[in-house]
This record gives sequence, structure tokens and C-alpha cells, in this order.
Amino acid sequence: MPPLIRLEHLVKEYSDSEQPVLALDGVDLTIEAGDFVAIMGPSGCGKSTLMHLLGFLLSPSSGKYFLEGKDASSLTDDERADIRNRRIGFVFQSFNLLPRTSVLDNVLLPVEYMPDADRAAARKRALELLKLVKLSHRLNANPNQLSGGEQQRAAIARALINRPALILADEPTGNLDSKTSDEVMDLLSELHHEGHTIVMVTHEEEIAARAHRTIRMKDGRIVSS
Amino acid sequence: MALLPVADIIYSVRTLSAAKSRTLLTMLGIIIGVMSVVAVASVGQSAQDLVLGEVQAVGANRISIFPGGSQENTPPPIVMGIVSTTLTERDYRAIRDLPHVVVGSPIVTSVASLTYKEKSFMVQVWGVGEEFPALQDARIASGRFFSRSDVESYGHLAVLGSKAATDLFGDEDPVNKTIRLKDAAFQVVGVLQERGSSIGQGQDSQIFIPVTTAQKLILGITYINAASVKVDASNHVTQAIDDIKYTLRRRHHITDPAKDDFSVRSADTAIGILDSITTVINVFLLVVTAISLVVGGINIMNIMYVAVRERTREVGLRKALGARSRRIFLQFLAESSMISLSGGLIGLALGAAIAYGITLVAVQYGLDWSFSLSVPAIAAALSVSTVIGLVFGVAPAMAAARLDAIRALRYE
Ligand SMILES: Nc1ncnc2c1ncn2[C@@H]1O[C@H](COP(=O)(O)OP(=O)(O)O)[C@@H](O)[C@H]1O
Ligand SMILES: [Mg+2]
Repeated sequence: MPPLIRLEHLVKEYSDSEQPVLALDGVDLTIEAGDFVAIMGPSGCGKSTLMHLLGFLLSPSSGKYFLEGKDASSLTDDERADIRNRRIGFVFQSFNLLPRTSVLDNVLLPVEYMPDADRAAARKRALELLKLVKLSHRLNANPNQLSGGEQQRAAIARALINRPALILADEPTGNLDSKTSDEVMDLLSELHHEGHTIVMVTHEEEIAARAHRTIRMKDGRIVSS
Repeated sequence: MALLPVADIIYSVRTLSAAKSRTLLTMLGIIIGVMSVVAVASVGQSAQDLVLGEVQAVGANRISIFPGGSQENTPPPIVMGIVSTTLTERDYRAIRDLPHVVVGSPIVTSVASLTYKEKSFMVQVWGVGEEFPALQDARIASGRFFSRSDVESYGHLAVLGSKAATDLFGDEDPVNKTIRLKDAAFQVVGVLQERGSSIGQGQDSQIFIPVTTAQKLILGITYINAASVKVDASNHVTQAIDDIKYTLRRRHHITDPAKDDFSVRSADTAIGILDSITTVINVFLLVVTAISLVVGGINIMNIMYVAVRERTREVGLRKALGARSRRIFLQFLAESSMISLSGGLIGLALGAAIAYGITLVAVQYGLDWSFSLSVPAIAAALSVSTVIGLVFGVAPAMAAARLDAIRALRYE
């Protein structure tokens, strides 16, 4: 069986600014299904760029991206949108919940972009996920009524709604205090144990320690994995 | 994908109502535009109905003949103050004898000094035929109107309009009194009932004398200013007009109709002229107010650009979660159409309220004014405002759809 993700000499150059920036300088990486990977490295070394490439928010300048053995290096915008919708679950540092929208509707937001979704089944799953992230009592709350930890848990539920093959979390605890960080990490560990594949960027060694393995980056390259 | 995704619309409604005063401000141009369009269209229609109704009431089955030639749809020269001498009382008699013509009168008009006892003032004196009351649906309040033989014998007889009678005689009975018109003595033989004003003419202050007397004594002319006849049925008007033209051409030895020295008008042509004038005015007003709608559209476009910039992170998030560009485009397009359509609905309500208020005032003033708000006008106002939201929403929605997801997510 092919690995979930295989990157072959992936290069990303930002060329639209005055000075082209080589953010990723030939990255080779394999991620197996069920992996829990932490990515560490100094600021500006290309961690977020790698996450965006993994999450189909960016296209590589050169190199190959194989998703479940299929070449996904050059896709149209709409094809990438559909993969983001069905295969990827994003967890952001700043939660990014829609304002004036209930926790339940926030969790269901990705379903809006699935034309053939079974609405009733999605709603049932959203309720289960909110139970999993211990927010069953806040279904109808608006995001601004939640604590940071609660918001991030709601965001994790949203990331899981479409049963993604890959969960990408770019500094998911970056905006949280240590106690709520632990809660969120407990949740991610639980998801890992249930079989989810997670790639997470972090600055903190003890957070990285909860992952299965840690990749260290410097100047757009992987220096140890 | 549904063309109008419900979740997007609910989100738009919440977003718009979270900033009510700003949303209202965004709509203001459209509100004012649609309000004016609806008010102008409604009031214009009512006014047109009123004017045409009056013309029709006065002029049903009526044909008027004026001296001097003119084009079919332009006023006869007499209206411009040009005096033509090509129509005579004998022409009128020939017209009066035509089939279908049931009643009529020659008309000359003048202003003369009137004296009674120590009172003296200027009055409108109309020289008319014996059938004038029947022609005008005027009733005799007291006394009688002059007869055909009075007309033929140049009688020094006068019939007073109701206001002329009270102005001159107060509570006294005017019948059989003697008044002086231009220094000639006239015997008052009758008074007309009050008739109110038909378009532009206070007919109650006039004094009527035989047309022959007015020509010879007051004006010193041999022609008449106009002739007016009624036919027995409206479907005979066209036939009668042809007969009149034929008769006058024969009497005036005219072979080429382009050289006609008279003009024949019916209420139908008058209505046609009035109709085109009021239509032009209405169209002009509608164009002016439509411009304010465009200004309203530009206003929406500007504020939607601001909204897109403010909601850059939202767009980034939606794209990261799998929204295609087209879907983002539709979301913002639906939002600007909603703003515009809501503004249109508010404007429609306000415009209708204004038109209704004007109706109440007009009715207070005794006008036979009816409130009219046509379904096409409503449909036009609402579809125009939706179209404006769509048209002016395209550019901001495209800007939203083109946002780069990553940049949008990083945008603070
Ligand atoms: N959209 C962009 N345009 C130009 N340069 C960028 C862009 N995004 C990131 N960069 C540059 O690419 C390099 C890597 O950035 P990033 O992947 O965000 O690093 P990290 O997440 O590890 O801090 C940095 O030098 C950054 O300034
Ligand atoms: Mg980063």
C-alpha cells in the first residue's frame, strides 16, 4: 500500500514579491496513514509553507506530491478546493470560527461546500464530534461566548466533520495557556489513537513530545526526521 | 450547488443586521431612488388620469373647428395667438347641417367693459349660438337662453354666468335688467347655473351674447374664432370630421388638403396631444430618478468593497474549508443583491406612502384624484433594484472570489 503522503524534492519559491523567496528548498518526506508528526524549526524556516503545500492551499514550484500514491502536484484551483474540503482538516493557531454563527453551524461549515452531502447524517456526526470535544452543552453558543480552549476544540470538531485523511494543525496551541494547551493536546492524542493522521507545527518541545515523531527544519530543508 | 445557498444567505442576514446603521446607509441610495421612482410613477399616472378624465368628460363626442391650417398633432394657430379670418358663421351653419351633428355653436371671444349702475369692470364676453347651453351641458338657473331668431336679428341680449351674476347684481334678480356692454344696452334674459371650472377656464364669470351681435357690435369682425359641435355617437366622430373637412374645402375652394385654411380637432386628438405631453414629462422624471438609482448602486459597490476587505479572513477560511471561488463570488453577489432588494422594498413602501399622502391631500382639495400604483411599476422598481445589486455587486464579489486563501488567512 502506498504511503498517505510522499513528497519528492518539493520546492516552493514565492516569486510574486520584489525579491523571490525560496521558502522550501527540496523537501523529501513520507507520512504514513496514522502518523502523528510534529514539525519544529526557527521562525521563517518554511514550516507554514510546508503545511500549506500539504493542505493544498499552495502548489509547489517544482517537485512531486503524491497523495495515496496519486500524483497531486498540479491540480486546478477547483480540484484543490475539493481535496481541501474532503481530505484535509485544518486547525489554525487563531481558531478561525465564523462570528455570529453557532458552534454547531461552524462545525457544519465544510459540509456547505460538499454539493452531495447528506445533511442529516452530517448533523448527527457534528453532534457526536461536539460530544467528543466536550462541547455538547454549547451547541448554540456563538464563538465570542467561548474561551480560547473551547474555540479550538470546536475548530477541531470542524476539522473532523468530513472524515479527513489528514489533519493539519499549524501551532494549534500557540494562542492558548498551558492548561488549555494540555486539553487540546489530549484531544489530538486521542484522535491519533483512534487512527487519525496528524501533522502539527509547534515551537514547544513538550508539545512536540506528544507526537509520534518530530521533523526539524532549517532554511527550507528538513534537517532531521 | 444550489444557486442561492441558504447558509450563505442566513450568514449575510446576520452580518448585515449586526451592523444595522451601516447596512441602512448602504441601502440609502437605493431607498431614495426607488422611493422617487415609485412616487413619481404613481403621482404621474394619477395626474395623467385626472387630466385625461377631465378632457374626456368635457369633450366626449365633441369636434372643434378653428380657422387656419395646422398639422394633425400640433395646436391650431389660434392657440399661439395668431388670428386667422378664414372661418365664418355661415361655415358653422353648413357644418351644423351635416348628418350626425346634433348640436353646436360658433364662438367668438372678447373682453369688453361692462357697466351696471355705478359698477363698471372688464368681463369676458363670448359670442355664441343658441345651442351653446346644450353643447356645454350648461343649465339655465333663471330666465332663458337666447333663441335662433335672437341670433339672426342681432339681439342685444345677454346671459350671465353664475359668478358674473352675483358679482354684478348680488342678491338682486338679474333677469330683465339692462346692462351696458361697450356702451350698448343689453337686456339680461337669463343666468346659468354654476358649473365649476373645467380645465383652466372659469366659465362662471363669463357673459354670453348672440354671436352676430358680438361680431358686429363688440369686435367689428365678420369671422368667428372657433366652432364646436357634438355628434350623436363616438363611433361617428371620424366620419363627421371627414364630412366637415370636405364641406369646408368645398366652401373654401380648396383642392389640396395640405393647403387647408382650417383645423379640425376632436377630444381624441386633444387627448392624444395631452397624453404624449404627460408621457414625456413622466419619462423625463423617471430618467432623473433612475440616475439616483445608479448612484445608489455605486454606493453599494463601494461599501461591498469595504466589506470584502474587512472579511478577508472569512474568505480565506471558507476557501481553506473547500469553498470554490465561484461559490465565494455567488455569496457576495447574493449579499449585494439582498441589500439592494431590501432597499428597493423599503423604497417601494416609502414611495407608495408618499403617493398615498399626495392622494389624500388632492382629495382634500376636491380633485377627482385616484391613487394608482400599477403592478408593472412595482415589478419594475423591485427588478431594477435587484439588477442594480447584481450589476454593482459583480466587481466586489469578483475581488472576494480572487482572494488568495493563504494571504487572506494571514490578513489581520
Ligand atoms: N506569501 C508569501 N510571499 C512571499 N514570501 C513568503 C510568503 N509566505 C511566506 N513567505 C516567506 O517564506 C519564508 C517561510 O515562511 P513560513 O513558511 O511562513 O515560515 P514559518 O512558518 O516556518 O515561520 C519566510 O521567509 C517568509 O517570509
Ligand atoms: Mg508559521
